[in-house]
Amino acid sequence: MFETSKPMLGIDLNNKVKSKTAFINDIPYSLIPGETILSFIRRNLGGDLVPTLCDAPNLDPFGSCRVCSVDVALVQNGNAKAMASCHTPVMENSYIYPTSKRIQKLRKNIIELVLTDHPLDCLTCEVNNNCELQSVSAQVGVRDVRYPEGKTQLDRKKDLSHPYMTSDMSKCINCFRCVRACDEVQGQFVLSMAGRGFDSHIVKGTEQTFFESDCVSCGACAQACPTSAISDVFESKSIVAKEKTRTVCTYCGVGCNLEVATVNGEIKSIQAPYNAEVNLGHTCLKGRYAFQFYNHGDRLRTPLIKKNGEFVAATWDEAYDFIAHKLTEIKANYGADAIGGISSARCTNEENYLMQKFIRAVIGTNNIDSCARVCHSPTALGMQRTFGTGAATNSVVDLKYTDCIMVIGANPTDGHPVTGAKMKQFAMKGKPSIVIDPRRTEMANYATYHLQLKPGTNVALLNMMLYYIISDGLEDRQFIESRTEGYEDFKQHVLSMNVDDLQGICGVDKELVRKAAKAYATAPMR
Amino acid sequence: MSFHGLGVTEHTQGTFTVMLIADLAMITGNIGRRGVGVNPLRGQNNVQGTADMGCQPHQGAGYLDVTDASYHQKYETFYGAKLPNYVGLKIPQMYDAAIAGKFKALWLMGEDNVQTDPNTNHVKEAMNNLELLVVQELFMTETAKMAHVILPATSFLEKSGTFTNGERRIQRVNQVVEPIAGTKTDGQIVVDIMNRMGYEQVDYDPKVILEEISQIVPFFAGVKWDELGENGKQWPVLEDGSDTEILHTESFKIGKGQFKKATWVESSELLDNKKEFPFILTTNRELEHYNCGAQTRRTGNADILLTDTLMIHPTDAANHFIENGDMVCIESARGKIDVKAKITDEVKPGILSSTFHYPEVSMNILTSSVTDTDALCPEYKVCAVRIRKSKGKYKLV
Repeated sequence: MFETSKPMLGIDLNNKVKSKTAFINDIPYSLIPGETILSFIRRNLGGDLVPTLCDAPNLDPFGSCRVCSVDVALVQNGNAKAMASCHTPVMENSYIYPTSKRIQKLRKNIIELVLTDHPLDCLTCEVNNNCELQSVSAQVGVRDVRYPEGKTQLDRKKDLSHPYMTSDMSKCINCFRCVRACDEVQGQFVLSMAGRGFDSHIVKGTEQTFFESDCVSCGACAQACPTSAISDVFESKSIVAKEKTRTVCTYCGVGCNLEVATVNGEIKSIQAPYNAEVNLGHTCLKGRYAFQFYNHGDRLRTPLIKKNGEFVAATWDEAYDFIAHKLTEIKANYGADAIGGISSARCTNEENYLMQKFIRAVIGTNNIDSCARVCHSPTALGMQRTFGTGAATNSVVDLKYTDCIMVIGANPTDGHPVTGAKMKQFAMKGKPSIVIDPRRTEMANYATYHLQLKPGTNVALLNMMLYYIISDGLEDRQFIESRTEGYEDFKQHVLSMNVDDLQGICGVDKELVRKAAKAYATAPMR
Repeated sequence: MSFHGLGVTEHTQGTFTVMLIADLAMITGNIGRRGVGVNPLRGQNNVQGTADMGCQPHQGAGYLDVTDASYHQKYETFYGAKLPNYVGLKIPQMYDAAIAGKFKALWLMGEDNVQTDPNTNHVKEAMNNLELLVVQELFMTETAKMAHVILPATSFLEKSGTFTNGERRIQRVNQVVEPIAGTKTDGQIVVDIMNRMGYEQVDYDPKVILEEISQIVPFFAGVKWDELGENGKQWPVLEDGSDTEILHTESFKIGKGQFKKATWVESSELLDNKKEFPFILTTNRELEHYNCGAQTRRTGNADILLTDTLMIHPTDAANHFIENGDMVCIESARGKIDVKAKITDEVKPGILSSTFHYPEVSMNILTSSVTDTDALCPEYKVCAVRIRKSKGKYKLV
């Protein structure tokens, strides 16, 4: 532990655990092993001290712009070296000077060089007042640009080909944030850097437009871009929308948090908050861009009662009276069980609760169901019978900790895009992944094993996997013994099956199934 | 760590498949700790919550059995009403009962069953037999068109409440804009009709209702509107407010995990129809659209993906003289439709796959009324069909 008679800033003296320290402007602070100099400074002294351009909250450290450079010395006031703080791990007992004279000069010079190749049309720019280049430039105090005008980016044309995504590459500062967002967050690899030296420039696909490229319109690049080089038709980064409300997406079961910007009571755009545990600053084109339905001209705006085959506008009172009268009549004539309700997964918990309460307590029947019937009702039932609870046992964050994933009958990159993107990242790192699906889905392309079975043969295929786990002795005997019941009978049943028959039923090579079963069964314990 | 979707559940043996996935987790000890488990990818934003809240005929709010005497008593006392103590009808049974003339009134809150439920003609026949069909909706959907009364509801952007995602995380939905003029939240509509029919229910306020829910749903015991924060809480939420990231860490909810056996059987849809309809059609989703597409088809997403397409293997396409982009007529024992072909080896020969996002295509005219044997989930994923190049008005020139 750090011994001293003087209390030090940033160090919890009650913390008896041995902690390492480094110095910022000669004052010691405790460091977290492995953290970068930038996060060390920001954690202890706040986010404003060191400016950055190529760094973003949801991207890996990259170190291309060098604006975050700080002086680092091995001894107090010793010979210092300028290091890019965003991707340099902080060293124990090092002396960091984040705002030394020569560092300030270096940062200013970097921004000046960037500005030689950037149009200075800020007043008419979409991101005026919400531009990171603008604020960093102000922070480092650029008053004039001493270098001749560059000729690389200024003449690049806008790309307005796509219903959502836009680009104006004349505003590009080659920070690579869009490329990294496309690679690291979404895993789509549409954006990349072409050319060398002064000719370096961002391209989509093979020098295509957004619309022609394989872009999935997730908008991660637009959110990551520090300027207006990549944006969207809603101008989501425009400063105009100051009022923001955080809510939850209405589409799939991932439950992305959304930050919805409004102007004068109208929705202007949607961004993904970086501090959302579920989606960490990411979302898909449905969550981010597909909100225009909300005030579409087709919205129903008055109760309607059908009279002689035509809908006629009615007041709420008329509609309620009509319904109440009719329901009472039907209940009197045929009993409460002639009435039923179907609730909606699109509605809130509170609304669903009220709906079943209405059907049960007011109508007096248990004829209440929901669209869970047509999707995961077998999941609820099957898991209740085996575990007692019909819900996911773990959390999506576990993808960070797992050693093997198995995706059965699911197409997450289309159906659950944010979770799908995380799974893709997992599989692309070469970790064992199994996809069981009649279609070669996008996940199947990245998976270690794709078991492309005939539709309707899941039971046969899973029995094959169980057969090999048992016959190859891969079962977890301790777990079975201490936590489960009915194993012996189950085992005999599985072993009584003929694997060749099962192979014929599902149309998947038994050796491939055997390998996949082994991968699933032998993923290391944690 | 296993994840599964509708390709597991929407089959004759859906429940059995889920149980085998659970068996796989148990036999390998992959349950009850970090980075493992059985994780259904719940399809819709709040489908977890819908079941949690008791929108199913055999279990009330919090999954308590409606036929159990003590739970029945508990619900009756809590709601201050007389309740039936026998299981109600599931959706497919409601349709059958309507066609048989025993089921007369249906109240639909925000669901387009005509487009999304299987065997469209069967669903329509059931709806046509009703004396009263009430639909709460945003748009004039295929189902709303059949209603006797339509009540205009609000979207998620115009109301507050909570959604529970696929990892049991209860998160706050916060109203962004005022409801479009003339509309009401689904919650308020239900409250209004409850009052109109003589049951006293306070106006829709998520904070108040959530308080009520926390008193009856055991795993919501510690859920408080003001304490959900930005990232919500994962149920079970204990009374002290602490939540649960991983289930079954020490023991299972039912004590010991139960191994369940399953033997493969062929779907009756194939047994009955495969001779005459030799192809297997399965259904899928595309990124751009959401289910019936009522929302996404009214956004820029429709400029990216314009229609449903049928995936067909190059060999099958060649055998039927079908080229990429041709209209294909697909026929099942229920009916026929025309859809655009996309030739791809993403599917194997003999297998076809299509979305059902567009009412113009109405893919569910083809799908069958076969369901999962135990949970009655429809078998969208296996449908026996035959194909030919389209003729008449669907022929491309």
